[in-house]
This record gives sequence, C-alpha cells and structure tokens, in this order.
Amino acid sequence: MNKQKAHALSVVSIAIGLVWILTIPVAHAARFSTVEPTRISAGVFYDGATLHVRGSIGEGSQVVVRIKGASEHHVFNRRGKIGGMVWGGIEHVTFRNAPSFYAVYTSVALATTATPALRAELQLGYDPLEAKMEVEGTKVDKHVMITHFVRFKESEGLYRIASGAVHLEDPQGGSRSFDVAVPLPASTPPGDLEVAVFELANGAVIREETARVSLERVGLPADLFRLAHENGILFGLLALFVTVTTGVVVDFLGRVGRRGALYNRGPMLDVAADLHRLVAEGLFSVRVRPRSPAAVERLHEKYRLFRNLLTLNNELLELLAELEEESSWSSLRHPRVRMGIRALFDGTEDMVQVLNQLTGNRYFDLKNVIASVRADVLAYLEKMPEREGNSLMLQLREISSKTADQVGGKAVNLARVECDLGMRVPESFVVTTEAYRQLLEVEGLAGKLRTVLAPARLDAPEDFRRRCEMAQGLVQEAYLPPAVEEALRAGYRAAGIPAGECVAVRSSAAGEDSELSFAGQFETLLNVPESEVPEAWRRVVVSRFSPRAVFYRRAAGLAEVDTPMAALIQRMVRATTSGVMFTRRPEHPKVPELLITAVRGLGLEVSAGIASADEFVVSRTQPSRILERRIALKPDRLVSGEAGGVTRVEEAAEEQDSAAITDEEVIRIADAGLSLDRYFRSPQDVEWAIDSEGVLFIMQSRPIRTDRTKTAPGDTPRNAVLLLHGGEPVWAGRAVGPVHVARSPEEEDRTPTGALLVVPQLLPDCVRLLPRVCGIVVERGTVTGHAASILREFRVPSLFGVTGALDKLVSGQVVSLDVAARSLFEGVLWPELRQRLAVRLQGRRTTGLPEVLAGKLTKLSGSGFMGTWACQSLHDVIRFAHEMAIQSMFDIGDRLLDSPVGGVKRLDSPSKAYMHIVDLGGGLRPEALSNQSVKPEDVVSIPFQGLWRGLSDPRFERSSDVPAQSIRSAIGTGLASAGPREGSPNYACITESYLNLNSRQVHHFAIVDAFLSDNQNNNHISLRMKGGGGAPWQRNLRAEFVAEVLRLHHFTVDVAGDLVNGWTRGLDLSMGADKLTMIGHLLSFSALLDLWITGEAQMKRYVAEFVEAEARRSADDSQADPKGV
Amino acid sequence: MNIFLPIAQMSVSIPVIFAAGGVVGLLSGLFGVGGGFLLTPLLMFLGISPAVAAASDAAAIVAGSTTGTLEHSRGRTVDYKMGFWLFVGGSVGSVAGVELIHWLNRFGPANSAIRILYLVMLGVIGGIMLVESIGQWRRGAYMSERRFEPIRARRWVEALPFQVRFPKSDIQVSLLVPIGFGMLAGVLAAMMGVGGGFIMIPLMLYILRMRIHVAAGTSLFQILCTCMLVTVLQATKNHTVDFVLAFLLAIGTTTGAMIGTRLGRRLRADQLKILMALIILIVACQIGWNLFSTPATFLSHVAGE
Repeated sequence: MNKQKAHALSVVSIAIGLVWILTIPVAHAARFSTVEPTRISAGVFYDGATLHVRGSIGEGSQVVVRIKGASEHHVFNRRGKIGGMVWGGIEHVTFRNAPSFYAVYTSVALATTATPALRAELQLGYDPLEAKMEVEGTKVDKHVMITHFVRFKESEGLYRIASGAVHLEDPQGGSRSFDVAVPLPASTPPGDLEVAVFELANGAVIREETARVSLERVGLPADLFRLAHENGILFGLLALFVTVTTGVVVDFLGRVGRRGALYNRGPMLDVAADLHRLVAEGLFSVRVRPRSPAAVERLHEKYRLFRNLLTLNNELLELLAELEEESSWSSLRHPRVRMGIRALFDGTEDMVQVLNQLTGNRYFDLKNVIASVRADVLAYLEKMPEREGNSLMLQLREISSKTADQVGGKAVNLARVECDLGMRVPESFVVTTEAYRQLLEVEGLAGKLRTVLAPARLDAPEDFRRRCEMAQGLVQEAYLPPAVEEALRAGYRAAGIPAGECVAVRSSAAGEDSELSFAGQFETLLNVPESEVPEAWRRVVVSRFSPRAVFYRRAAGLAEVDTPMAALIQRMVRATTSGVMFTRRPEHPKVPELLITAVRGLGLEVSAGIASADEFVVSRTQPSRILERRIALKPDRLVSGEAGGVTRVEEAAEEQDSAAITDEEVIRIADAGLSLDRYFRSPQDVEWAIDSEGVLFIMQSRPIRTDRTKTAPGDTPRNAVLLLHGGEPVWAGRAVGPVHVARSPEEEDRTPTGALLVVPQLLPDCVRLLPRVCGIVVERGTVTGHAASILREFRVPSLFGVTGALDKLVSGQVVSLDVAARSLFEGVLWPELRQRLAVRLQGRRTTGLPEVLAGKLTKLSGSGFMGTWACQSLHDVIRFAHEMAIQSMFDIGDRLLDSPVGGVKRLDSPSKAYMHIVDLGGGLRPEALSNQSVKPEDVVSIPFQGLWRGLSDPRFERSSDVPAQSIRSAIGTGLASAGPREGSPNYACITESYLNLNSRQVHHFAIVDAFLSDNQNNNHISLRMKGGGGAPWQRNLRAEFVAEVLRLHHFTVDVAGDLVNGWTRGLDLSMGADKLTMIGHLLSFSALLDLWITGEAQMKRYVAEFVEAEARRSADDSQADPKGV
Repeated sequence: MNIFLPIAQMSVSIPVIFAAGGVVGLLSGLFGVGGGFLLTPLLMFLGISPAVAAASDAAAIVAGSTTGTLEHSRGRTVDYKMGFWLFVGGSVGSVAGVELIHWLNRFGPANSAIRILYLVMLGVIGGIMLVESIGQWRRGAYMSERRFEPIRARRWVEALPFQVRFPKSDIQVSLLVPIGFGMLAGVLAAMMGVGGGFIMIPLMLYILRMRIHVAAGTSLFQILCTCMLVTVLQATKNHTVDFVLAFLLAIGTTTGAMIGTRLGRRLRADQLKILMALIILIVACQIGWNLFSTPATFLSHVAGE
C-alpha cells in the first residue's frame, strides 16, 4: 500500500517537475542555469539524491555553485583526555547558525576566482561560515572547534567544498556550458536547500541566480516520523507489538522448519503454563523464612517432592508402555511417536530434577546420561531412511542393499541366486513394500486395521480369530490404488513375461526368510492369469492378516510396522517335477548329508509338508552320492490348470510308486544346493522345479534354523515306563506335561497351557498354539514342511511320524517326551523342565521400537543400582530415580529424632507400643487434627493401618518370654518396650498413602518406609533393622531370621552382620497392606529375639513357626474381612 | 537493497542490518545477554546517530529476547519469578542511574570513571571464567553440570531477610538479592547503554548458584522486560525509536537468537562458559580501546537530546 502510495507520489512529483522544467525555461528564457530536480521526496526506499545544476556562461567567465541548507544549531560531545589517561566525553558544545547542508562547487580554485571580500559576501568557503557561527559551552578556541565541526560534517557528507570540480565545456557560440552533479546523502535533513549559481568574471559577479530545492519526507517514513513525534506512547507500543510479533513468528517458523518438531506445545501455551505455575507458587507472596526452620516443614516439602516424583514415575512408566504400543503400529517418523519420545525425555528430565531437589543435587550427572541418550536417539532418528520416492516395482537385478528392505527377504535371496550365482530362476519382479504402504494409506486403512487388531489378545483365541478375519475383510474390500495396478503391468513388461502368461504370486515380507522364516505364513498363489494378478497380490496382502500370521508376529515379538509386505511375481514354470531341498538334514545338522523331497507336478503340498513325497538323502561330498531313497506312494499330482489355478490329476497306476526324479537329477539338484549353501554360508531350504525340457529352476532359497543345542545323553531312569517309541525328531529336546489329544482344530484351540499336544497332522497355523504347548507329537507329516520349521524356530520339542500316538495316549495323562531318544515315557522324569517351560512361555515381548531405540529408551540394563553410571536407558534413569527417591525418604525420621519439634501427636493406645505421629497431610481423620494425642482409629493412613494391625496384635508378642536377667538390657530396646512409656518414642511420619516409621533406640533401630496407593507402579515397602541388646552372634542370628522370613515373603534382602535391608516394589494395595501387617508381626516377634535366641536350629524353627502362623493369619484375614482393620 | 529509515533519517542496506542483527541475536541466544553492547556500536559504525541506535536497539532486542525466552521456556530454563524481581530491580536501577549520572557529573567526569570500573570488572570476571572453564573443559565433561562452588559472599547473602524460594532455579535467597542485582544492572545500563547481562549472568552463576542454562534463560526474560520498558520510554520521551530499523534488526536478532539458543543447548556447559568468557573479554577490550586510543575526531554525537 504505502509503497504504491510512495510510487504514485513520486510519479506525480516527477511529472510536475517535468512539466515545470519544460515550461519554465520558455517563460524565463533569461535564466542561464537550471536546477533539477526541485522537489526531492524521501520515500521508503529513498537513498539520497543527486542535484543537477546545468547552465551556460560567457566564454571568459567562471562559475560557482553554492548549495546551503537552513541554519540550525548543533550539539556535540567534546571528547578529551581525562586525568591524562583515558578518553571520554568532557562537555557539550553547541554550534549555532551552522547550515544543515553546505556545498560549494567551482570551476577553478576558489581563491583564484574570488577575493576574500567577495567570498565573504557570497558566503563561499568555511571562513565566511565560521564568521557567522557561534560556539557555546567550551573554553576551547572557536576556530579549533569549528575546524573539528567542519571535519565531522564533511565525514558525514553534509559539508563539501569542491574547488575546480565544475567542468566547463569547450566554447560554443560564445558560451561554455556546465553540468554539476551534487550528491545529497540520505542523511541530509529535510527542508529547503538554496542553490545559488554565480557567474564570475574578473573577480566580480556578472550574473547570479538562486533556486530552491525542497527536500521532504513522503509516504510511510513521513507518517512514521509524524506519529513518533506526535504520539510517542502509541508509537512505542506499536514498535513493541511489531517486534514481539516478529519474535513469536520467527520462533514459530523456526519450529515448523525443524523436522519432527511439530509436536511441540504451542509457545503461548507453554508460557501460559509457566505463568500459571508462577502465580500458583506465589510470585508476589514474600514468604518470610521462619526464625527456626521447623523440621516438620522440611518434611512436608520433602514429601511433596517425593509425591511429585512418584506422579512422574507413574506417568513415565505409562508413557513408556504407550510408546511401545504406539511404535508397533506407527512408523518412527510419525509425529505421535516422536511426540511420545520427546515427552519421555521431558518427563525424565523433570523427574531427575525433582530427584535432585530431593537429594540436594546428588545425582546431577543423570542429566548427562539423559543428554547422551537423547543424542543417540536423535542421531538414530535423523539417520532413518526417507521412504518417499520409492518405486512400486523392482526387477530382481535392481535389488541392491539399499532397496533390500523394500522387497523382502525372499526376493533379496532370489535376486542373489540369479545375479550372483547365475542359476536359473523364473522371470520375476517384485511389487515392493511401497505398494503395500500405498494400499494401507487408502481411506485410512492402516488406522482401521489398528482399531481392529490392537485389542486382539493371544489368550482369547476366538476373539483373536474374529478380529483377524475382520482385518482381512477390510483389506479385501479396500480400494486398490491404480498406481499398484499400473506397476504390475509395468513389471510384466520389464521382467519379460509374455502377456497372457500365468504367474506365481508369492509373499516376500520384510524380514521373511532371514532370521525368522515366516515359513508358510503368507499365501502363495500359483498359476495366476495376468488379469487376476492385482487380486492375487491383494490376497497375498490379505494373508498377512490371517490369524496365524498375526499370531506369528505377535509371538515372535515383531511390530506391525516392521514387516511390511512385498510380493514376488514369478513366471509359472511348467514343472514336471518339483520339491524341496534341505542342504543339511534339520534333525541331524552335524551329519554331512542333504535331503531332497520330490513329487511330480507342482510342489505346493511338499513345501506345506502335507503331501507324501519321495525322499533322497544325498552326501555333501564332491561328487555327491545318493545314500538313501525313500520312494513314497503318490496317488496324484498337482498341475497348472489351463485357465489358471491348480488342478489335481490322478497318477497312472504304474507311476504311483516310482521315483519322481532320476538319480542324475538328484545329483544336479544336490550340486545346486551345495553351491547355494556355500554362497549363503548357511544351510539352505530350497524350493526347486524341473520343467519339461529338463531345466532346473530355483524358486526360492532361505536359511534353515538348525538344532544347535546338544541334548544330554539319557539320564533317563531305568525304571521309566516306555509308552511309545519311533518317529522322526524335528527339534530335539525334552518335554514334560499333560497330554492333550486334538483331532480337530477346535480341540487344538482348547489346548491347556503347558500341555503336550498330540495331533494326527500339523498345519502351519499351529503357530497359534506354540506359546501354550511344552511339546508336540504328530502321527503324520514331514520334517521338511513349514510346520516343522516353525517348531524348530520356536524350539518346541517335537516328534513327527509317531504312528499310533492318538490311540495310545489319553488327554490329561502326564508324560515325558525325549525327542532325541524318540521315546515317550509315563510320568514326570525331569521335574526341572516344567520350570524352564514357564520361562519360555512368558518369553518374548512385543515392541515396535528398533533394538537400538528400545535399548536406549525402554530396556532395563539390569545392572542394579550401583550408581548413575550404570544407567544406560531412560527406563534405567526412571527406575534409578524412583529407587534413589525412596532411599532419600528412608531416613526422614532421623531429623525428627535429632530435633524434636511441635506438630507431633502422641498415639494413644492400649498396646505397649509407644509412638509419636507426624502427619504430613491426609494421614489423620480431620476431627483428630486438633488433638494432642490420637487414637489408632483416627489414623487413616493405609500403610500405617497395615503395620499397626501387625504391631498391635497380641498373638505375636514374644517379649514376655524374655528371661529375667535380660530384662534390664531389654528395656528400651524394642518397639514394644515392656515399661510404660520408657525410652525414646518411635516416630511415624504419615500421609494417606505413606508411612515412615523410625524407631531408634539405644542399641537398636528399625525403619519401615512404605508407600501404598492404587497405583502399583509407585508402591514400595522397605525395611531396615540393625542392632539389639544381645550378643553379637545372637544379633546376627536375629538378622538371619528376619532376612529369611522376608525372603519367603518375596522381599529382596540384603544382610550384613546384624544389618538387614529388605525391600519390595510394585505390590498392589491390599497385598501391600498385608505385607505391612506381616512386618508389624515381624517387628513385634523379633524385637527381643536376640536376647534369648540360642542357635541356628532354633532360628530355623522360628522361621517355620512364624511363616506358618503368618500364612494362617493371612488366610483368616482375607476370609473374615478382605479390607482388614 | 537499501531502505530509508524514517527516524534515523538515513538510508541503510537491508542485508547489512540483517547480518548485524543475526550476529547479535546469536550471542544473545547463546549467553542470554541482550547484545546491546555490540549492537549499539555496530549501528553507530553504520552511521546511525547514537540516540536512535540505542533506542532502536532496545526495540530490536525485544524481538530477539522474545524468541530466546520462548525457546528457553520450552527448555524449561527460565525462572520467571527470579526474572520478575530482577526486572523490578532493573527498572528502579535504570531510573536511578540516570539521576545518579547527572548528580555525579557535577563533580567531574564520573562517566569515564565508571567505565574504567566496568572495564576492570569485566576483565576480572572474564579472566576467572576463562581460566576456570578451560580447566573444567580439560578435566572433561563429567563435572560440567556441577553447580559452582559458593563464594564467600553467600554468607551474608544468606543472612538477609525476606528469604524466598525460587523453585525453578532451586535456590532460596533473599528477595533483596535479585532486586539488588537488577538495580546494579539497571544503573550500569543507564550509565553505559549496555543491558548489564554481562554482570547479571556471572552474579547468577557465582552468587545465586544458578545453573548456566537457567541463568541464561532468566537473564533473557529479564532483558525482554527491561527492553520493553526502555522502548516505550524512549519512544515517549525522545522519539528516537526507529520502527523500521528495529523491525529489520528484529528479524535478524530473532533468527540469530533461535539458532543461538539451540546451539547453546548442544554445547556443554564448560564450552559455553569458555565462549562466554571470551566474549566478555572482547567487550572489555572494546571498552578499553575506546578509552585509551586517541579518537579520530574530538566531537561525537550526543546520546539523547
């Protein structure tokens, strides 16, 4: 706007100027000079101007141009030496009657043209100026000051004497023309400039003309200048508004510009939150420090910090869980995941800050731990590959290490077989994971799938299956992106598959056929006509959400985002025979033999492990020899149908029991297998086919998981009753458990946890059962099938081909399976196995975070609590901070003992225990707050109630048994001291959910610190006991006693001499209260134990006695009144 | 690319102003100083009169410190409570400073004496910081977040009345201390036209024992408040705030401040302190140069009219 205005104005003024210039000279033809322009407008982009003075003078004359601004006064600071040393401003000097601008241009040196008198008259040069000027405010000589003044002005470009700077043209028609350009710096003050032109000849003025040039501000600068001088406050506020806005906007842009920063909270929100906190904390409340700081007040403060820390602890643990969950569904690039990570760091920093407040900055270097974890995490996230611009389709030869994660393991292996080994593979191309992602992005499919699948739980098979089927339905109905179909057509052409030719569509999930085989998890479609390929691809994707595939991922601890689906599209080979080869026999990996299975036609059912096939055992030597042939009865074969699909053709009777391949072919296949084995440097599971022309094709090759564990040679008891013998080992191991015979999938679903499953045959979807079974016995099936490789992968002891198993075994019967011995025995032979099974069944945990991040964020490094240096992940830091906070609370009672203060209430009870109570908030009933002494029932603190129930229980008091001679030393040693109110009191600091009991007597102390709330994450109980009145060995025995009891109650215990530390974390509320009751009993029971305990045997007896009594009590309590008290 | 400044009455190159603002903003973000110490001479060097330079600086610093404060606020390194009381002290101090100067000048050139004092102070502080932080740096980052050892001054500081807790800085100190520090900085600001961040931060570090990141954030917040006040006062009284100049500078300072703040977070505390010490020493040198070298001209513009 303003710019336009300024432009308009300048155009108008130039136009006016032009009109003026064009018209005036005609009207005043007598003038010998012109000045141009006569109006100068200082607009937004004004950068000074140049005045042009032109004219012509007589042949013998000289010209002088003088330009002068209005007279003003100027104030300056004069600098001088102070104390003969330093320079500084000394005084203010005012110069009066000095022009704001002054310039003289002459055609020859001034002195030669004009006499001093004339110069003075015409005001040419600095001397005449000096004469008119006045200097005030200094004692320094006027001439010196004015010289400085002129020098200063000259340096600013405002004063100038240009002698001889006017160039006169050669004479022409009796006159010489001149053209002077006078630069006006932008800093020339506005106002009128007087331009005088003198024509001098022989020391006298012949002609003289003056003109005025006006210099004025226009547009925005003028408006601003006016505003600044007329309404200063408004101007100032406007300036503030603009600058603050600039600050906020630039800040915002900066954050948007930074990648992954979108989850930042708005700055205003942040500031608002801070300001709110500020007001809440009492910005204006000047709290005068009390004269003597009350210990109670400090405790309050400490407890408040502790509570803050607990809140953070719980928030962060929940956040961790959420983050793990979120990251298994969303890419790490997703803002939600990033937000989670950021929030995790922020929260952990807060927690550490609180911990440091709590402990007097003891763990300051945790901040460095966080910083280094943060740096690692950021570095990792920065490095994550961009996924934009990935191609939807790749050919085998285009697969490189860079694109490997887009095509899946199967395609990578096959590409290496073709490109590196030069073996024949069918013409193929890959539909990459990008196509899968695009499908999932259509209409928010990914979100819908998550909604359906996230709640699916492994232990609810019905619901699990239903959800997976819903997910499959969603994919089935999803709109297929046209780009995918286009990519499929392009792939056909690029791979050189003739149009109309049928293809096989195979899954190739990321990670498939590498460490985890996913064997048979996804659909493979054979003989698909070109027109049906898109739908076939979709079916492969659908198979990704089959119950067994989802189950497999869950069980193997894979996140949904980690295994996107690619598909391998291969031209259909017209196979006469096909099969599977294992370059090591899976059940005997050490033996240098390979195993080939073969059938006529397509090998679909061989790889699924359900068809009976010829088996050849071949030596791994060069040249190979066939060691063993097992020709199976093959009643039919699968062939490609004419219009696509696979049809079953009955075999001619004489062919049914003849070998599917010749010995020569066996050797060829074996040789190929050995080179694959060498190339991949691991035993391979190879699918192969031979076409009618005898060409050997490799369809796929993947590593086999071999059994590396050694089985201890049978320490089977001699009297063991053998139930069954025979079959083929799949994964050698032992299992003990109740038999579950399942003849149908429904019966399989009912398999109880820890059972030994007995089935007629095993399909690959058995994976859903694996977390529950201890072993599997199968009547039929091949050890080269998918089901078998899954069993090996999950290391489930399993025996295949055990005929008669279904008939001989009964569900519920407990048996022992020894796979290596191929035997099944009655009863439990190896009891320790059941424990190991329990561990395996708990097994793997699902997290979508990559190992490095999980390690940094959520994994516990498990290195105890030695120091901050041991913390390697955020989870470590969180746990460490929680632990250290608990420790710092432990001794709060000591301060009360050091300096007893007011605000302490006496506990008034019939029991002998002598106790003072300090309420840190919410631990007492409101009615009791004003009383000096409180009754036990006034205390509402949950942990206190739990402990008190134990302490006040007369059944567990053993102090009356103290031998008479020990009474004196016993006085004042226990919590329940014998005399009325003797010794130091015990202090209990309580809140609604917190208890810190401190009992510190002459020879003995005990501390109980507990926090119990609805939130398990925050709960803890810690106990410390030391000392006593007895002999050292007796005190040690008592410590042993306490430790043993605590251990039996699942406490972690640490004993050193007579010092016992015991702690437990994460109990729920009622369990925690119960444990505190137990501790109450323990304190009562063991108080004077050290005075009369006689030996280890007695100690052990007491342990048994105590634990038994405690178990009885606990059972009674839970029956009578689960809430207690 | 030039633009005409309405109040300064001159034309300046836009990129040059951006660059000047950027450099100053960077320092401001890094150390939590306003940057006036650098900006005012820079602008004067570009030919802008001191009165306008000083006033427009304040406005530009408002923008820079807004960004810096926001950034620090997200990093939770601003103690608003502390900042507020420093500001209270600072406002009182700057008003008092102006009067003090008038009063002192009656007895002689007090201004230069203060300058010398300031020079000595900066030299000593900068030197100590440099030596200490280099030592720390060579020992490794392990101790870098350590609070600085209390110096003797803390004894009497602790004895003062009106003890208040500053939860963000995690200290308890008498209210008089921040007010006093604020006043000290305010007086300096009034006398020397510098914001006093250079004095403030060492005081916060060594006497208040705040952590360096929080000290920087808090100082920025205090500077933001002070400069807002100065801008309005200058605009009202002297009409010397150049809006256009301030806006151009602001873009530079904000961008610089943002980069500086982030850079600061990446640097370890000891590295930050070394840089800080170096800058303090550079400022000391600049002041020294002005004091001891013979000027080219014995006249200079008068700051303020």
